[in-house]
Amino acid sequence: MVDFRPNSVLVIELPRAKLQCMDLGVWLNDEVINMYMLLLQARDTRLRRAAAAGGNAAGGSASSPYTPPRCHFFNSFFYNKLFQGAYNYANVRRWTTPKQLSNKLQLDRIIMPIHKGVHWTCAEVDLRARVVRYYDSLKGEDHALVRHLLSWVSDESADKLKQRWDTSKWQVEFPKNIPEQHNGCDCGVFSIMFADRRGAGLPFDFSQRDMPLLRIKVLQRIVQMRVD
Amino acid sequence: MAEQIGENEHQKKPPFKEEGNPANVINLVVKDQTGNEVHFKVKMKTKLDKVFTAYCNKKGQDPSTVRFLYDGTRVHGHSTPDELGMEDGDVLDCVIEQLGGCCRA
Repeated sequence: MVDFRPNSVLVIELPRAKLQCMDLGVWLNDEVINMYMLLLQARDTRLRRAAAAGGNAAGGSASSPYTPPRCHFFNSFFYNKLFQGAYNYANVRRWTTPKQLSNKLQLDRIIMPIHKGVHWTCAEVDLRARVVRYYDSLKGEDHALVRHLLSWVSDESADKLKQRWDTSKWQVEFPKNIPEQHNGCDCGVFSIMFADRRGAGLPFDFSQRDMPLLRIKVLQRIVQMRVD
Repeated sequence: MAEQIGENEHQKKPPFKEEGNPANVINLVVKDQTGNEVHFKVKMKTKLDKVFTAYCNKKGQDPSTVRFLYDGTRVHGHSTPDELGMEDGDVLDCVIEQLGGCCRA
């Protein structure tokens, strides 16, 4: 049993049986993906704290001027609630209440895993560059999804900042020069790694060949409850 | 229709025993992915497990295939409304487990 308590309220329990999906060739479940997102959020908090302390951000390694983006990671249910047969902002309005940290729109990136029936992908709202990117290890494009995320940014700004942002001129990207999946089981691992790398502001340094090892690494990070 | 959850569940005790303290009981709404709602009356100190079990029984859902979210955050059965700072009328989202590997058959 993995028992993760990032703060006084949040308790995540992940029974070992749920982790068996990290075995070779098995499809990933939402518990593993969302647990990893929480660990990425915890990493983000550590990096920000380190940056604020004037020290080096990258987990203690010395002397690089690298500043990681400030990110928020939604879980895989965010988009399913935002779009339930129709776009519905009210469903997720309270996912970003003022009592939770600061305003999400003042961050650099908002990253979320996307569950599409039998497929995992990853979406990113880049609030600095004003771009919504959709990372699909099978190079698919979901134009409705990026449109809904742009609507969300607009509605969220109107609701939380009391000033509606015009996102009609924002760019949407479906990057093609990204690691590609060559089988029918690893998309969850790809999605996790897309979120991991984008969250740290690092390039995609993995490929299909690395998936068996990455499955072990992801599992190890979940069991240790830490991503660096 | 609202269901009474907590010590009154099996009618062992008279309902609304603590009516003198209305802040002690709140209404919680469990909403599924199609927007259907089930209402529960819950004591602030009652573990949410009772709500989850009652909901799954009512809906015929296997508890291991559903997750409950409060403002987007996963909540577990051993938490109480009190611990989570819940208020009267708050909504819990019930979502179904997700699995994925590829989109090609």
